[in-house]
Amino acid sequence: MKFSWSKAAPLVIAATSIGSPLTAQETAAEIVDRIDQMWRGESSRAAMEMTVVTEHWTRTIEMTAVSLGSTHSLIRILAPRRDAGTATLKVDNDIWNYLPRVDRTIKIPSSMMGSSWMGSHMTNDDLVKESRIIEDYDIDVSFSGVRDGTDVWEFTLTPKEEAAVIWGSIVEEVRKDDLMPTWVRYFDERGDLVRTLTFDDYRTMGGRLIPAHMTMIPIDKPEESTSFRYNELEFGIGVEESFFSLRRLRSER
Amino acid sequence: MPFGLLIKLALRNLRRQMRRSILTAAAMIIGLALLVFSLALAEGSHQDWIKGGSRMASGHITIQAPDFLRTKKIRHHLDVSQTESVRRMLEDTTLTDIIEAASPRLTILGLANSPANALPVLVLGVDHRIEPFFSQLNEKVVEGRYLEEGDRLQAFVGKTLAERLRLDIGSRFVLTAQDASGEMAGQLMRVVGIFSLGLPSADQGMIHIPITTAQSWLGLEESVTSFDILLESTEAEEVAMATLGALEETDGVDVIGWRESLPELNSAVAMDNFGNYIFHGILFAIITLAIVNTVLMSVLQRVREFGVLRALGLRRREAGMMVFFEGMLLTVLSGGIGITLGIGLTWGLFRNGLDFTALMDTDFSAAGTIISPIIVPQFTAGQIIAAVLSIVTIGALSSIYPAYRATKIDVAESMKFET
Repeated sequence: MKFSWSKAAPLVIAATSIGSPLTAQETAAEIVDRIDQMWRGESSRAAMEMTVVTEHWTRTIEMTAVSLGSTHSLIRILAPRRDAGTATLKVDNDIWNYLPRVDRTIKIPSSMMGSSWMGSHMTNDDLVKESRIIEDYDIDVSFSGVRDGTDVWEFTLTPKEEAAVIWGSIVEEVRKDDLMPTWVRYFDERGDLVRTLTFDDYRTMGGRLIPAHMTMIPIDKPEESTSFRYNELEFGIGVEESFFSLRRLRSER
Repeated sequence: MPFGLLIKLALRNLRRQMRRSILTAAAMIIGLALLVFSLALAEGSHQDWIKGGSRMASGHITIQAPDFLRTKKIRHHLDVSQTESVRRMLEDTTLTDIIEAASPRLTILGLANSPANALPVLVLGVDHRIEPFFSQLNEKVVEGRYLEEGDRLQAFVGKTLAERLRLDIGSRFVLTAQDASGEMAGQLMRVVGIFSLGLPSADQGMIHIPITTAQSWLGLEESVTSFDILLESTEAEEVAMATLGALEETDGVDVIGWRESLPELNSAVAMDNFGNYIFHGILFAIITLAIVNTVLMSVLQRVREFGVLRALGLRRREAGMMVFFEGMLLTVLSGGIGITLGIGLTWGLFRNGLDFTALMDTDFSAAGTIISPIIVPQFTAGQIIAAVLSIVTIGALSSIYPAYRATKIDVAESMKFET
């Protein structure tokens, strides 16, 4: 079970930056593509909390994340104290971890890409993968109307014939009035629900409306979850690619 | 005293104590027959390991670009012209006779993703026409089928891997790996068959896909990462290495034998050999002690006799020589019989293999290779030479001390002994 940071994050951040409401001419694919494109080239700095709940333990990690588009990001853990200073640098397809207690930088080998990032329900590979929703999926509106008192669209994303994606389909619900996503459901090819991502606590941060809280639940282990909460968020912070260096991975506190 | 006479005397002495000689000889015969059998069995099982191990991995010999063995990175592949040269070389008639199968392969470490999981895998882009003669994975199908002509997105995956990724026949999954330019590339695949080899590393982490699919996925055109060569027999390795070695000069490729490409197999064989050496050493020591005992006893019992011989003019050295020859004759004769018996029995009874199936409940694997429960003993010239040398060594070692004792016998003192 895993959580796709890069698939969830663009929805969260980019959806908020769409100024005008959806017009009749825009097709579902265009909306999703716009959301996808909005994410690229965007720089941001966030202070966030990740809470991982598993059968045996629960832990909350506080961290800061600086990112540039979907290619560069630097995440540093602030708390708990035991892990403080631990950092992850992602540049294109490579990930490095820095462990301050042993003062070592480790490049994650391909064999470790499938293992969990910081004990969460997401993998190192989820960090690396860059979303290409429009290239990989055909997008249809599967529902339009009022649901639970809110006017929403429901988009169904079906992978194209030979697209290199694992999902059988993805269904996401977006509020019509402010284009906020409410949930995303991931199905396998048999049509079984594999995981859900839900959004709530919509608030304005960094001048934009975003869902400040999102939770991923793996369906086969419903008592487990990984959730993210944005405490601070800034956009257009003007970082360059050169910011994301191994030196920065080690030094910045 | 002439040599011949000493030998004649030694033989007579042995004959005089027939019962004792026969008992000693029996120890020697059984010991050496056992030694020969055990050597043949070890050789047989090593051959089996090597063949099995090579079959499952990169063959007896693998031809790769320099550095690929170390890095396993796709950018260290054989380019089109190197691939072409290797292909041409493999058509050489001296090679076609000793090669069982030569498989062009594109091997890469990657990640297999499904909605359920993401696991590291060894992906082999293979030629489905050659592979049945090489890895014989097509015989291990538990569900579906092996790769066939016209397959493109079809993948043949290990049973444990399929379970962990929760894949059935027809299920989609994505392979991710670094392509030739270093970019991360994804490839959609669908399960066409599931195999179970009984070898955990393969069952949980190996995938066969069509080589053309692997080439287009990783941007390699006609290139491959290796030509893996399985020989008819391990003994042909030297000839094949010598012939293929020419490619190192002309095309700058690496020609690597199994000892280097499968170091864990090499050390497994070396370790097993070491264990055998210890076992044989103990066997030797016991045989040697038994013979020392017999020969020494025969000297101590015949003190008066030696005294008389000395009194008749036999020199100390000659007395010693006589005892030495007694010991040597006894060991060489009985040793010869032992070796012949060992070879005869092993060949006669177990030439079709020793079946250990009853002792192993399931497929048994070690050092990355499946060990067949049927072991066919094999003889090599080296073993026979080793056995013969060991006879001479035992004979010499066990005769020296008694011979030394025989030289120390004092004529006057010896007369006090009753015979």
